Amino acid sequence: MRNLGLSWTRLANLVPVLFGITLVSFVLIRLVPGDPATQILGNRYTPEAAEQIRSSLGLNDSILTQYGIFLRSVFSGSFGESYQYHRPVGEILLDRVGPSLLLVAVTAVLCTLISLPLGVLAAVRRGGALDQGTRVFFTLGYALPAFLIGIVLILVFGLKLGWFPIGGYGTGLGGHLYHLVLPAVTLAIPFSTVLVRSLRASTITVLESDFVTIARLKGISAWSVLARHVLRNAIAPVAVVFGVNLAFLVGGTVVIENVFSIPGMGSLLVGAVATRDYPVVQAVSLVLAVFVLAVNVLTDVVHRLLDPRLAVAVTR
Amino acid sequence: MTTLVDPAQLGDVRGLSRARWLRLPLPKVLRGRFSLVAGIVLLLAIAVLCIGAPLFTSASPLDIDPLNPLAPPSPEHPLGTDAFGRDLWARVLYGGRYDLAIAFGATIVTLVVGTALGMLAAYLGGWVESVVMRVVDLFFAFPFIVLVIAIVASLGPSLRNMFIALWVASWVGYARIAHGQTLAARRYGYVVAANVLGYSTPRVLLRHVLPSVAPLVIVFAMVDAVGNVLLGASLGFLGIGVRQPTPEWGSMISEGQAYILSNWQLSLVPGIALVVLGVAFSLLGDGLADVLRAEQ
Amino acid sequence: MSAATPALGQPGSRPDSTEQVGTPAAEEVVPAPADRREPGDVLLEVRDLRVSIPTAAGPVHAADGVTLTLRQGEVLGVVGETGSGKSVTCRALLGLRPTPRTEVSGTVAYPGLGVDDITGLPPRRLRRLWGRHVAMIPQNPMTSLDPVRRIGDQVAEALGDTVHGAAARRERVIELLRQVGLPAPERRLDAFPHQFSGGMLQRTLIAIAIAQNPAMLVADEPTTALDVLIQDQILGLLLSLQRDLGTSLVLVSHDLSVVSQVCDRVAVMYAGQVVELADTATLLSSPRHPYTRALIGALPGAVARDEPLRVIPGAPPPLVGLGPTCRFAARCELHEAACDEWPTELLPVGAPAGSPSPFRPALRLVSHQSRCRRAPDLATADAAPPTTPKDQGEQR
Repeated sequence: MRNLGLSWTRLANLVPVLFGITLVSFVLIRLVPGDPATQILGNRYTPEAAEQIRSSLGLNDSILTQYGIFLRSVFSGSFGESYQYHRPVGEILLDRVGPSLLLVAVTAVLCTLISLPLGVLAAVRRGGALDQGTRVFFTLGYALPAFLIGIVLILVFGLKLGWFPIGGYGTGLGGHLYHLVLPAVTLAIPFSTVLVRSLRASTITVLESDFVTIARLKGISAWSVLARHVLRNAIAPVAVVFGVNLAFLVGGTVVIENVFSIPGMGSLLVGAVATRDYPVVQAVSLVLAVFVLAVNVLTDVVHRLLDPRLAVAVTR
Repeated sequence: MTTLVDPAQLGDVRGLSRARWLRLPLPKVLRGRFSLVAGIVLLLAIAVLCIGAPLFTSASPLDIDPLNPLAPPSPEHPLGTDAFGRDLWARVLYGGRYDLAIAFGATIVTLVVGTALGMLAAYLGGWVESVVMRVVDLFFAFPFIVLVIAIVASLGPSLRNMFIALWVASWVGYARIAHGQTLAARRYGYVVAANVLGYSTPRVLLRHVLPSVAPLVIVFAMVDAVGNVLLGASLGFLGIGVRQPTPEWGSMISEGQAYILSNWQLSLVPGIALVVLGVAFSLLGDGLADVLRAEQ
Repeated sequence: MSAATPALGQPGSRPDSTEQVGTPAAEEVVPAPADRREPGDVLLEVRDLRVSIPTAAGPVHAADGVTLTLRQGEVLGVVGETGSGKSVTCRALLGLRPTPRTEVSGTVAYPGLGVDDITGLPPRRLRRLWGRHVAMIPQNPMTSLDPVRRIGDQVAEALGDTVHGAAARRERVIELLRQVGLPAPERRLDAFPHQFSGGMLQRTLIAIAIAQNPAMLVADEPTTALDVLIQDQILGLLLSLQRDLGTSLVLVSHDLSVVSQVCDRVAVMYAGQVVELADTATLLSSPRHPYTRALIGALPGAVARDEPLRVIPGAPPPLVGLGPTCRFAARCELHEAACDEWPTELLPVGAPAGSPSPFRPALRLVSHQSRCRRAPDLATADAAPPTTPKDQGEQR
C-alpha cells in the first residue's frame, strides 16, 4: 500500500467526492421541467403509468427521501429500473462496461505507442522535420472532431480498402480487438496530439537539465542516456497530463461508440437520451465519473512510482 | 474545459507564429503574427459567408426537391444536393450560422459567468468560495460531454436546451482559472493598496484584479470555443443537439454518413468547414497567447 | 575568426544536434587516446577558442579568442566575474555547448591524449573522451544527479567498461564512494539523490568524475552551491584526489582567494577573454592587468580592518557586439585615449619564461601574459606591491 504511494487518508478523501458525484447525477435528472412523469411518457401518457413512475422515482416523497432511495439503488448496484428495457439498470450496465473499457484501454495503449516515440524524437531533434510536423499536426488535430476522423477512416480503411470492419464489436477477444482498431485509432489521433506536445516539452526540459549533461559526460551512449535518464523523468509529468485529459478521452468514446456502433456505455447513453430513459442516463454518467476518478487515482500512483521524491512525501 | 488541456501550449511559441515574412501594412499588434492574422482572417471569412449566406447562394437550405436527390455538383447546385434534394452549398452556408452561434453564444456567457464566479469566490473566500469551488471540482469529475448529454437528456433535446446545457456545464473551467489568478492577484501590492484605500469590492475586482485574470481566461476562451464548436457538432451528429431539418454541420455530417461511398461530399464538406472553424479559433488563441506573452 | 577545422570532423555531421541517436558507427572516429601521463607534458592546447551563442539580441560571445595550455598534473584556476564567460569556456574544453545552435570555432586539442581537435564535433563523437579521459564536476550538485535513479547505479554507470561483473562493479562503486569520503557507502547505494545533502551529492559527483581515472577534471565552481562549512572540505578533497591521481584540474571560480591558494597557474577572464595568465605567485605579486589588480585589491585581506572593502566600480559589459579594443576600458583607472584604438592581444610580459610551479617544482610553467596595453607601466607600479592597501588607495 505504502509503496504504491496511496494512503488510507487519501482514499478516505475520495468518499465525499464520490457522494458529490451521486449528488450531481441525482440533481441533473431533477432539472426536468414540469412533471417528469409527463416528460418521460410523452405520448404514451396515461395517469396510471404516470403515477407508477412518480412512485418509482419517489417523486411524491421529500427531496431527501428521493436522494435516499437513489443512493440505496446505487449501493445495491441496481441503479433503479430502465424504462425502456424494464430491467435493473445495473444488469444492462454490466453488458455494456466491457466494450467501453476495452476501447479506452486499446486507445490508451495506442496513444502511448504513438506519442512516446514522436514526442521524444521531436524533442531530441528539435526544429527538425518531425518536430515541425507534429506542430502542424497539433494545431490541426486539436480542431479535428473525432467523429469526422472516424467517418474518414471508415471510408478509407473500411469501405475502400476493406481492411477493417466499419462497426460492431465482433466475438471473442481477437474479434473485439479487430473491431476496435478503427475506433481506437480515431480516438487516439486527437488525444495523442496533446500527449506528443507535452512529452516534447517535458523531454526538452529534461534534456537541458544538469543531470543529463553529467550522464553524457560519463561517456555512455546517447541511447543509454535517453533510456535510463531522460525517458523516465520526462514521462512522469506527462502521466499527470494523461490523467487530466482522461475525461476528454472517455467523453470521446461516447461519440465514437455511436459512429462505430459499439455496444458500450456511450451508445447506451445516447440511446437512453432519445428514449428518455432517465435512470440509464443517471447511472451511465455516474459510472463514467467514477471511472474517471479511479483512473486519476491510478495515474497518481503511476506518477509516484516514477518519481521517488513523491513516494517519500506521502509516506512521510 | 471541453478540450484537451496542454500545459506546453501556453509556454511554447509555435513555429507558425514566428514567420517573419508577413510584412503587410497591419496595425502593430498584428505585424509578424501569422497565427493571429490567419485566425482573424479565417474567422471573418467564415462569418461573412455564413451570416451573409443569401449573398452567396440563391438556394434555400430547407427546400426539398424529391425529384433531384443526391445530385452531383452542377451550375445550379455547386456542391450537389443531399438525399432530399436540398442544395448542399446553401445548407453548409446557413448551417454554419448555428455553429458560429454555439461558438460565440456558449463561450461568451460561460466566460463572463465563470470568470465572475471564480473571482468572487477567491475574493470573498469563506463559504462562498467553498461552495463554488466544490461544485467546480465535482463538475470536473464528469466527462464534459457526458454532463452536457445528461442535462440535454433531462431538459429534452433541442437547440435551446443544448445552449443551457453548455452554459450549466462549462462555466467551471473559467471559474477555476479565474479563482487561481485572483488568489495570486490578491497578494500583489497594488491590489492590497486598493483594499487599504477602502475601494468597493466591485471596483477593486474590475479595475485591479481583472487585468491580471483576463489574459489567461481569454486564451482559454479560444480553446473553449473550439471545444464548444466540436461539442455542438457532436451533439448534432448524435441527434441530440440541432435536429432535422435544420442544417448544422455536425448533423449534416451524420446525415451524409449513409451515402459516404457514393456522395462523400455530403459529410466531408461540412466536416472540412467544421475543421476550418476549429483551426481559426485555434490560431486565434495561439496568436492572442503570443500577444499577451509579448506584453508581459 | 579561424574557421573550425575539425581534423576529425566529417562533412554532413550535424553539429546543431545535441543528441544523436542511432548512429553508433561514428563513435570510433576519435582514436583511443594514448594515455601517457608525464607531469609537465602538454595535455590540452586551446587556440583562439570562440563560443558564440545566438540570442534575440544577437550572438553572445561567451568565449572570444581564448588561448590556453594545460599540462599534465597541473591545476589551472580560471577566475572571473559572473558573466565573464569562464564557465562556458571551460565547458567548451569538454566539447559541451550551452545550446545546440551555439557556434564554436578555434582549436581544442589534447596532444597528451593524441586527440587533434574536438571543436564542432557532435556529442556522439566525443564519447570516447568523456568519462575515460576528461570529466566534469558541476556547479550545482542538487540538480546534477538523476532524481529517479539510485546513487549506486549512477556511480556504476560512470565505470564504463573498466570493471566487469556485477559484484566487482559494486565493490568498485563502494571503493570510489569511500575514496570521496562518503560515510558508510555500502549502505547508501540504494539511496536516491533527494535523500543526500549537498555535500554528499558533490562527493558522489566527484566519485563519478574520477571513476575512470581521467587525465583532466573540469570543476565548474564546484563549491558555490554548498554551505560555507562544506566548501573547504570539498575543495580539499578535490585537491588531494588530484594530487593522488596525478590528474590535471581546471578550477573555475569567481573567488580569487580560493584559486590563489590552490592553483599552479591562474587565468583571469573578463568579458569572454583571458586578460591575464600567470603562475599564481607572479600573478599575486606583480599583476600586469588593471582588472587583476582590482580583483586583488578587492580581496578581503587586501584592506585594513577599519577600511571598507574595495569594489570595482561599474559592471562587466554584455557580451554582445564587442570590438577588438580593451573591454575593461570603461572601468579602468589606467585608461587613456590610446587604449580605444589598440586591439588587445594576450602578449607575454617581462616575467621569466618557464618559471617553476610553487606547488610542484617539477612543473615548468609558461610565461606571464597580459592583454593590457599598459602592462609595462604596471611593472613599474609593482614597486609598491598591490597588497599594500594604502598605495592602492592613493593610485585611485
